[in-house]
Amino acid sequence: MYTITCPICGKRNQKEFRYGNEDVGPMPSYENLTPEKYLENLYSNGNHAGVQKEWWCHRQGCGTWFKVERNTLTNLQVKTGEAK
Amino acid sequence: MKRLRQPLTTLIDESQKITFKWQKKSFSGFQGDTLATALHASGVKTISRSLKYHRPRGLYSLDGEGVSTMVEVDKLPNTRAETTPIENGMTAIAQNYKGSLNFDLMGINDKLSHFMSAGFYYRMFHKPAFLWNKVIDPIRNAAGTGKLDITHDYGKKVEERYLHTDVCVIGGGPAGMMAAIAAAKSGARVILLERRNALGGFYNWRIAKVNGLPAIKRAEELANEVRSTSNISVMENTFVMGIWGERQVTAFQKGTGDDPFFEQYIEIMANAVVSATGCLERPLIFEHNDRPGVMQSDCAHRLVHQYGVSPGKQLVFSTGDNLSLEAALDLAKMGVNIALVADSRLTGHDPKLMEELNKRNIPFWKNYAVSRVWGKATIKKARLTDIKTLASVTVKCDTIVANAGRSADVRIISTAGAKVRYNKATGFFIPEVLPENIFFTGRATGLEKNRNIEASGYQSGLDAAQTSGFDTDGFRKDKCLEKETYSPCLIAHSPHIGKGEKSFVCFDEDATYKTIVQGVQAGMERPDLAKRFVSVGLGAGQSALPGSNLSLLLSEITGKDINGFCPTTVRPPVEPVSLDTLAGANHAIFKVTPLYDNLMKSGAFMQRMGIWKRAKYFSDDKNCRDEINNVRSNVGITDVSTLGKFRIFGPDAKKVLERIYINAVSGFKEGKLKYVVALTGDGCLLDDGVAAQLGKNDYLFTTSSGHAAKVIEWFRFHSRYENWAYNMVNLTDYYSGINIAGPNSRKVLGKLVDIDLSNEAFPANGIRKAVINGVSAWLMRVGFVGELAYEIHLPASTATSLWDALLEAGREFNIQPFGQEAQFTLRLEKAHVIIGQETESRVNLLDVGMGFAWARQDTEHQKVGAYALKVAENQPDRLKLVGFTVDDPEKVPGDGAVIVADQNDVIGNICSCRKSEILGKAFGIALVDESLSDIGSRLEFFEDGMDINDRILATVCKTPFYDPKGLKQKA
Repeated sequence: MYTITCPICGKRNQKEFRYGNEDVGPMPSYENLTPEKYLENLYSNGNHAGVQKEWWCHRQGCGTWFKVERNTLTNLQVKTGEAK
Repeated sequence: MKRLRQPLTTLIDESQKITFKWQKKSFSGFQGDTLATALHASGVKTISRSLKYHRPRGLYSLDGEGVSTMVEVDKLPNTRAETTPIENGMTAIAQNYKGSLNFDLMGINDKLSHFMSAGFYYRMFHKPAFLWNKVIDPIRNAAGTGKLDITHDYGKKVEERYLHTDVCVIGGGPAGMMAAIAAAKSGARVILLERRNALGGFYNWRIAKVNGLPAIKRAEELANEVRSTSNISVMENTFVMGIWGERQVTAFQKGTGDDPFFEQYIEIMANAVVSATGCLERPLIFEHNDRPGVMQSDCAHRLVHQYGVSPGKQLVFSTGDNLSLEAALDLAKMGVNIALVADSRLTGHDPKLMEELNKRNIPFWKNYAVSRVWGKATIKKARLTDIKTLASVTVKCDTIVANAGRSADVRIISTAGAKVRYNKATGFFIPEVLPENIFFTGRATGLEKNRNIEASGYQSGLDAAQTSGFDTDGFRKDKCLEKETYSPCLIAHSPHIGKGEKSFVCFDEDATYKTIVQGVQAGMERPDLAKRFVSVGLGAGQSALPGSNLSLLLSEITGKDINGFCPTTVRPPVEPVSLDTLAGANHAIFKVTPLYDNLMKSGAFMQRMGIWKRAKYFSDDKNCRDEINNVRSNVGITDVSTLGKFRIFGPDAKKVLERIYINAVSGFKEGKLKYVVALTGDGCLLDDGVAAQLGKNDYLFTTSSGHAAKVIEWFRFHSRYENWAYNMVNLTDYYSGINIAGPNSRKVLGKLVDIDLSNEAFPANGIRKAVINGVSAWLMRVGFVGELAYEIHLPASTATSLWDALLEAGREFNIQPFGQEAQFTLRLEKAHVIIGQETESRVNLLDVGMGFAWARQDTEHQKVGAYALKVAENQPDRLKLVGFTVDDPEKVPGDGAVIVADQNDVIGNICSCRKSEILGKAFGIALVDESLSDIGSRLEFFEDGMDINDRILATVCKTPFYDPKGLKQKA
């Protein structure tokens, strides 16, 4: 993406943001967790062709973390989530 | 040479003479001349030698595409003579020749062209195999153009600009100006980019009537309207490099006059882009069509109308469109001698222009084209051939004005991903499908009538504004005002060129008609294959001059449909850009603390640490012996303003602290600090600091220097799935910090504070609020350097006076400032870890011996990194942090020296190592394989500069090295 729309600041250059990986949901409870499942949550990406949900932080702006839906085939943002 | 009389369109000022050097001789020209025009006016026709055959080359288009007109100016190679204005004292020399420019020894290559067939580099020189190694260097050295003097300071300043706009218009000719005016009328913000130094495009050198005015006047009228429109921003001397995703346009602007830059990088995010790039002339392909004296029609027209320079003494026109006929007439009116005008079209010539040529008794030959010229540095004669009958006539002349009509300039729009297709009516390749919100307009679409060109630009400007949501209905007008009658030049090359051995298709790479035929015979008939195999359009011109000729030739040679040979995508940058410009200005940007002046006054040597400049030491002694001893035995002060400082508060503040820090955050005692560590998901150290509870749901914490921003992101990232109610305030720049350390620190501080500093009232690891030097501040007892010490956090504006007050209060104790280097050694004697020095992604909290910080029984808070510690806890073969002393008192290995086992295996490295005054030898802490981590183990160090078999020997020992029981800091 060349631009990302921040839920608070609006459309800005992608350079102002930090990527926070795909949205794979919160870390499951450590109780009864296996190392494989732990690493999967920490590092694994689905790398799907199509729309994926991912986290971005507006580090050179408001500092908010928010979800973005991006189409990996066109590399364009299709939807902006709320600020977290 | 005397200049012709000055018409309306002139660019030069004959009252301002300019002198410059060319090939070590003195020449002169006038203000407004480019290097090419001034040299041509002085009778210099050859200005370079071509890449492969070293043939003489001269000016051609006056727009500088390609390598043929590149020269070295003031030691800067590959400068375009056709677009570089002359300046007093400028020194220019030619490139790419051996011996002399007029008698290039490498010209022998021209005679050997028969042996240098297409792709000969790939096919010769490898049978027998040893040959390749012998020829590779000579071939490599003969390639390339221009020499760079790497010892010379070019002193070029570069800048950068990042812009946003609704509409970006590329091209400031009539269509581009109209597009900008229309878009701006409807309310859009417009940026208009123009590559030449003035708006006007192809009107600027013409006096033909447009809307009742001479074209140049119409151009001025439009330019005035553009400049007086406040929401249009014009950038001239600006060369677009490419159009990227989401309509990002990158370009570079050349500085002129008193611009504070040599070149400026420009990046524009636009909602819509209008491409109004106009046309290039299609070079006519005939034998020896690259000779100095062969030039394009616009070039001849501009030489006369803008620079008052006669192209030659006896001209022959061999062209294929009506603009060229207009040029021939204008030249004749200015007194230039035109022997004849040949036109490669059978019909379609403008009847008015033909009549005027007739009136002046200039012979007009329909369906003819020049097929060969004679002469090397100067043309002597030319042969013209009837396209149908092949009858030929030879004519004496010294200048050929030649083209095969025009082609659309689609270089920039092709970088946006637009695919072009052949249009039969116009003979142009134009985009078939355009990317979203990108518009293609003007002369490049094939329009010839001036009013139509302007109207099409206007329409596209409105279309572009509409994409930004501006209402354009009220501004719409008719798109096509006059009927167009297309009469394109259809020949792919001149008749009667035989094998075409010297009929050049690409001037940059010396590719000829013959080599293209050879390429097709070798099976390389697709444009993307042919261009690489034959080397067409790969040079600095990036297809500007070969243009659509390659496609037309391939179609003709193979006999297949033209749409199978559409031109390939041009590679950005469309025009050559200086590496300096892309590298950027690289300004030295840094932050200093409020204590900067105090530190400098005390004699500090500053060093860069991340974004900060901090005091490294305060004397010439790089070992800081005095500073260190003074802290251990007396009292010193240091600036710790760069530490990150935060307030975090709210009902859920404690929850996020528990998540982020590996320590148990509950059980804060009033007035007590906690040393806290934050881990990554792998259990490795991210940051450390201290935390304190200031009130209900109200906490204070610190981070290492330079890590404040990272930590804020970290907090928010790890609470993003929760709906926790908390707020953080970054007070890093708000508070300054001064650390006063040493046995006498209490005595000095006691003079300035209003609270009881005794050990009973304010024990180690405590935090108190106090008034110091009249200012309310936080006092923290921290033990980083292993002495009795107090860290004072107070508003930044009050720090400088506190520093002076401490120096004054400590005068009787001989208080001295100490810097980062001294602090490094002091904390090393206590084996305290520094984030980034001892911490890295191979070692977790347990490996560096800080397992005491881990609240392992916590199960509810999902502490970041805790799970990883559990998994890694009993893993074998991990690195461990150990203390060591070096055997030989003379040897002091550096940070990063490796630890070697069994001759060659690297099994660890030194993290920090310094010489100790107390121990009399070097000591430090290192990461080493578990097998050598026991006390007493022998370590072997190796570092750069040592003989490969040498080692520095050391022994693993207990830490800390100083005051093991920590009595000093608990005093």
